[in-house]
Amino acid sequence: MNALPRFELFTLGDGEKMIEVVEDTKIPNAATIRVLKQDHTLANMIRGYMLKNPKVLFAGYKVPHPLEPAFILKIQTDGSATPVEVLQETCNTLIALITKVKGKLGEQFTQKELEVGLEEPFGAPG
Amino acid sequence: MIGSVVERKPSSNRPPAQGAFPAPNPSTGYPTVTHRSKTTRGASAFAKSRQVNPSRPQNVPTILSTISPSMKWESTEDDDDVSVQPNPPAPAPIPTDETERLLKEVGDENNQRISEMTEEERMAERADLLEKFGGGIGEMLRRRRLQREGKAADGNELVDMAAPTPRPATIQLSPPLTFSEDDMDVDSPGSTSTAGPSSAVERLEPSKTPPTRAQLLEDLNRPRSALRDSTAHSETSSTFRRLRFADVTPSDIHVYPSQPASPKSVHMLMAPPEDGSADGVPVTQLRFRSLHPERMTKHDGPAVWMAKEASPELSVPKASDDPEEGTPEDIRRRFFPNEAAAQPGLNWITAPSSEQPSDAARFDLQGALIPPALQSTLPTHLGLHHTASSLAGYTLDDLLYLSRSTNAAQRATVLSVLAKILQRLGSGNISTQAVGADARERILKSGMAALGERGSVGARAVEVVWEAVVGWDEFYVLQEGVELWVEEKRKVPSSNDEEEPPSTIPGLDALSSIPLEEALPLIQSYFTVPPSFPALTLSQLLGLLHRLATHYEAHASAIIKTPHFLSSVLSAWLAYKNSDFLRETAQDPKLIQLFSVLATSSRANAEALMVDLPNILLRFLAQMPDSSQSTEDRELRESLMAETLHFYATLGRYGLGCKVALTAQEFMPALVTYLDSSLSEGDITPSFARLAETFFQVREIWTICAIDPHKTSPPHELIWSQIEAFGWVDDLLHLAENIPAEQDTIWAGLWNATAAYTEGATINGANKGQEEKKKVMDGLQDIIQDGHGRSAIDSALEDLQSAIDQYDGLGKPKFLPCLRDIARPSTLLGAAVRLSLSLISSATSTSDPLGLPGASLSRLLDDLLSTTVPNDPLATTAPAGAYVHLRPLTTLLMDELRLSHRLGTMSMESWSVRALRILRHLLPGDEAHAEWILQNFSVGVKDLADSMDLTIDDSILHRGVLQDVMPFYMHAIRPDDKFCIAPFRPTPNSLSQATRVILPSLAALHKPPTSTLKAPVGLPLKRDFLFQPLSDLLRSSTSTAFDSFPASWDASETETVRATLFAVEMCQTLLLDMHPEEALKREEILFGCMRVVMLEHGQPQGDSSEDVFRDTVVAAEMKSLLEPFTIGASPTPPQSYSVPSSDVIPPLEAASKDYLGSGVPFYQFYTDLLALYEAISFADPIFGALLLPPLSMRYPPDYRKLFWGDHSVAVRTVRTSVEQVPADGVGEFLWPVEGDTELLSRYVKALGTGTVRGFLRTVALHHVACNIWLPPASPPASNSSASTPSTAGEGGETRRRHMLLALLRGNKREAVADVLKYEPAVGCEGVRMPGREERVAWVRGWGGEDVLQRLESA
Repeated sequence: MNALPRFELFTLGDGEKMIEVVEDTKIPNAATIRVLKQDHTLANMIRGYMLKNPKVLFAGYKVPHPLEPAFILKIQTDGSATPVEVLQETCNTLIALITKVKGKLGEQFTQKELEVGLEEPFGAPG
Repeated sequence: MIGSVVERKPSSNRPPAQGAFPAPNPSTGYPTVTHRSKTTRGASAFAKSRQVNPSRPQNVPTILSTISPSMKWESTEDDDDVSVQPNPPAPAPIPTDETERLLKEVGDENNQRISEMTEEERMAERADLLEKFGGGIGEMLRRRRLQREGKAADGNELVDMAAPTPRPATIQLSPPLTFSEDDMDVDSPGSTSTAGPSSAVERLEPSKTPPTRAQLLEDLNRPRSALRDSTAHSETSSTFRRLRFADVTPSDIHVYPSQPASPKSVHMLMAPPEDGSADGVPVTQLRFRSLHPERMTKHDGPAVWMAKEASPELSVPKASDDPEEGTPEDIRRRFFPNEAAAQPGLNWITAPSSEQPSDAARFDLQGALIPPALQSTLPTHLGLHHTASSLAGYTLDDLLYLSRSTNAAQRATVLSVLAKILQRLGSGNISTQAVGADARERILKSGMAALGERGSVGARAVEVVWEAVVGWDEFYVLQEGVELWVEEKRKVPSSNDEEEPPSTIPGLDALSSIPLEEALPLIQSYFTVPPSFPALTLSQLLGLLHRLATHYEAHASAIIKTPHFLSSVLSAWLAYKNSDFLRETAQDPKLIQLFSVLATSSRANAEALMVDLPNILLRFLAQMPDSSQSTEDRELRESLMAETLHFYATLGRYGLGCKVALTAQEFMPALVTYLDSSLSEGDITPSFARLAETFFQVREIWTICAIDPHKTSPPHELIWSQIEAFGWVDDLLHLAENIPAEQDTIWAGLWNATAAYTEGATINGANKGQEEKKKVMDGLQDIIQDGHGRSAIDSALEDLQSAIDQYDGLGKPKFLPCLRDIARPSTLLGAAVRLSLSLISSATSTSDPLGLPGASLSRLLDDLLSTTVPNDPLATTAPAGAYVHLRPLTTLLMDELRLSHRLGTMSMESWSVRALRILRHLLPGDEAHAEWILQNFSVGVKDLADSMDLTIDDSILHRGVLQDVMPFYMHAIRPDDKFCIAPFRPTPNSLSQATRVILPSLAALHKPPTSTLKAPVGLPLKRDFLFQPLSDLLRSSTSTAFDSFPASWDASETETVRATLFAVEMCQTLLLDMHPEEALKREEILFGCMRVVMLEHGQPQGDSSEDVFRDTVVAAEMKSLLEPFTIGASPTPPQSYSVPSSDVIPPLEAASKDYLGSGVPFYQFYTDLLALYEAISFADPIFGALLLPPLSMRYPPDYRKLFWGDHSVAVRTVRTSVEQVPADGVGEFLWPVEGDTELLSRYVKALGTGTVRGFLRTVALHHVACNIWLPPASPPASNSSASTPSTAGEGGETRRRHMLLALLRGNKREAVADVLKYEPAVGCEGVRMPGREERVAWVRGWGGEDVLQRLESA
């Protein structure tokens, strides 16, 4: 009932910034990053890969309101890199990963096209 | 003898050997009529059945008779026959000598004629007969002849001469005899005992031919014979009833101590004279002589009779082929010879197969329980068998059924039995299990149904209802001033028919659910003029209303709202004259008591009552008791007057009806004179004491009303100058001189009244009432220094001390009396302290004006606070309403606190400690006291902190220390302005505020806030009420607190939290050292801190530095609050840990109950907390530490699964060291060893990846190591949680190996090494860790050298 129009879930409004970084003043090497027009899909992925990074002491996110398409990411590092750097690093890793997955998927599809008529490797499509 | 033909036991008078029959009387040819008590063959079916039934006990316990309770009957079995058998009318006309002679002559003549007849004549006669009567006539005549002859040979039985006469009535008369006497013959052919099946067939034959007259007669008689028992009386015209008497001498008859067959016929049987002088006197000429008790015990009492009955040598040899009399076969042959034995219509003749005593409790007519062993053996004459069951007594269901009888007498009787059952139930003589928990309610309903009936049914109904309502727990009747309803689980039939079992939901108890609106018109009908019911019934009705009005406020309102109810009852009551009742007083003071209770229930009810009632009741003030009157009259007048004054005082507590004070003043001088004279004579009866007490009470309250005339409604009804003009204080001082020391209630009243005056004088008098105070001081000086007043105070102190010493705690039988013993002296001491406080003249005074023993009182109260006395009556298990006895106590505590505050006798610190301790015990009605304490605490807290070397952060100081949170606390104390309970001691302010005087029920205090039954009171305060601002902040959308806040309140969330935590810190610092049990517990602090970190409302989402828990002041405060409760803080860490029993509620769940309510489990709160931690905490150490306590093994495994499983982030980021964990010791996290496979795999994984640190690593290491090294059977090591009960047992050995191998596969050498060498820091009782050799041996046992080598390398 109160849901936003669908397009607002992914289109930025006027003057809105996709990413906003606030350095925490009291906690060392900590930052709060506000990401607009994204949801748990991205946030959870970033958080999960952040935590795999040994430089990261803490990484968490929350979606302040379920109807507002935005999340807040909180990152604290051990000081060897700033939170923003770690985030960039993580994002690069993720992009690489996704590209790889995408490539593999495409590869499989190509292979599948070549193997038409052969036995289905993963069972019948459908 | 008429009406009580009784079956006798022959052996009771004679030895059984005597069996010779008297020879036939030669003059008549008929045997002499002999009473059957002289025959040996007269044993009845009852007697025989008893003889063959050896299981019958020989001694039947005594049962008190309803009719003549003073006489003790053993079993008098012969009376069974009286009650079972209808008294048979004499069967036939007495065979006089005339008729006998005539019959004999006729018989002789016949014989003569037959002998003279020739063979042809005989044949002709025979053919004639055969033609007339059919083929069976010969047999029939022969049989008849045989019978007559046989009878003549037997000779000595009653003979029915009139048998084949055409009058059926005479025939019908005989069956009672045939029924009981085996060998008695009656000439109705169908009922002869010799009529076997063959004769029945024979008799059926002639039916082909048209029936003859004889057959018609036969047919007419046969079926009826079985029915005659019941119909004989009604059908028989009295002219046929003639008595025949046997030639019985008085010695033949023994009078058994029998119950009369009906209450009206008393002792129809006569006793034989003890000497032989009366021999030969016919029994009809005997006169009644009462039984001597010694005769009963001497020889032939019923018990002896019973014993003989059971002895085997008495058994009469019976005919071998005949079925025994009384058996179904016998009945069938005798009465239904034409019917087949197995005919279903005849089922009723078989006795119900020996009925087993059922579980249902059975009661006798006294309402006493009949033990199951007796139910089948009790004799039937006790009136206990009037049900379908053959067992003695009535079940509750029987009684409830019978209580709806249309027979008024039966209904009245049963109702009185029910009333007695209730009485026994209430006094505990009958356990509730015997009759079911809802017995009271069911009986109450049947009593209510009979209310309003006329006559004795109506009176009994009142008795039943009274027993159910008032008599049930009479203990509480005197307990005024508190509602008594409780909550009960009640069965509610589910809406879905039979599919679901009836569920139980908590609801109001039986008394609260009485439909009083419907009952009131019925009750009203009892109060007629002139009275149609005894005074007792009317008094019970008033008591009933009184109790119901006390019980539940809605009942009181219903009584008020029912139109014309009270007015008609009152007018009837006023119209009663003493002559209307026998030796009873017409005006029962209970009615005025009822008015008082109604007035206490709510202000609206009091306003309804104040319209004209005060003036009507004035007449009782005019009737001054007089010493010339009889004691009863005097006491009645005194109590009527006392109750009237009490009613005025009750109205006065709302500031209502003060005008009557002016009218009543006319009678006051006389009353004062009367009080004075009685006091000086020392003639103090309880009713006089009550009168004096209420007199002082109404004085006190009217004085308070006059202090501020704007507070009364309507205002200015009574003003201070009038009080002064009346010279009330002079009366008081005058009366004080003669009050004896032991009258503590009168003393308390006097001091309260005097204190009220001096308090008023301070406000209204010139120069702050210095003159008045001096006057009072002068007047009381002698009394208080060494007079009666002083000794009253001293003895009250002693009483209080001894009452506290004797206090034995909740649930003990003397619990309520103990509380009462504490309350009484408290009232007196409180009044004395109050007076002393009001007499302090100058602000700088440091000494107690009355010279009270302040030090010993203070010490005593300290002791009192350390006991459980102030807590027990408020526990959920306490008797409803018991807590009303604490009111004088809290008032005394407060008075003493105020006095020491005023005089400055205590140090700031100890005063604050005392105040904080008292604060938690204050009751509803003490709101003003609670506010006073908090305000004083708030004002003095800065100095207090300075004196304790506590530093207050500038940010808190800047906000006025506690100013930001005071509105929260005030709201916590008084959550609803529209609901205000009048204080124990009224003040001018309370007069206008109070909406009710009566305290809410204990159940209403314990209800969750969402319930409509919850009383909107804040007191008594919750243990963790200091955290209340946090709750209000967290629930700011629903909390009502903010509505009542002053407009100037502008604190931010952080500022509020700072002040809250500071208040808690102050309290903890004050209490933790001296009274650690009263300080907040670890779990309460933990939950408070959890609420702090949960605060995230209104935070600008961008900057985490503004999270409340990250505020430096807040964080420091939380740290210092948690510090005393961490593992590191406990002085000596225990070396061993014993596993607590599993049914204890985990403490955090218990602590959070108040805030979360019953609908939200703590687990859900914890889930939110954990999610919040992972989202925003930045691994805050305090936040992290808060997450750990639920991981203890005392909590369900769900918490650990949540923490270790789904949220692996927390496992990584919580790095709390063992010392910083807020817990008792590390033991509770380690033992018993985890048995859940899922968790263990998490532990192994966490150790293998090396992501855990500190405390968490210790825990994981412990559980993994213990699971590997401890043999699986080790009992405390296997915490077989519900989900995996068998893992520890069966899969244990395999799991151990797999775990070790999994650990080896992970390449964390450090972890493996730790596991290998693991020794727990805290051991567990009964668990021994295997040593190195054992471990090595175990590994070698299954894994061989290969695994061992891998271990060695690690």
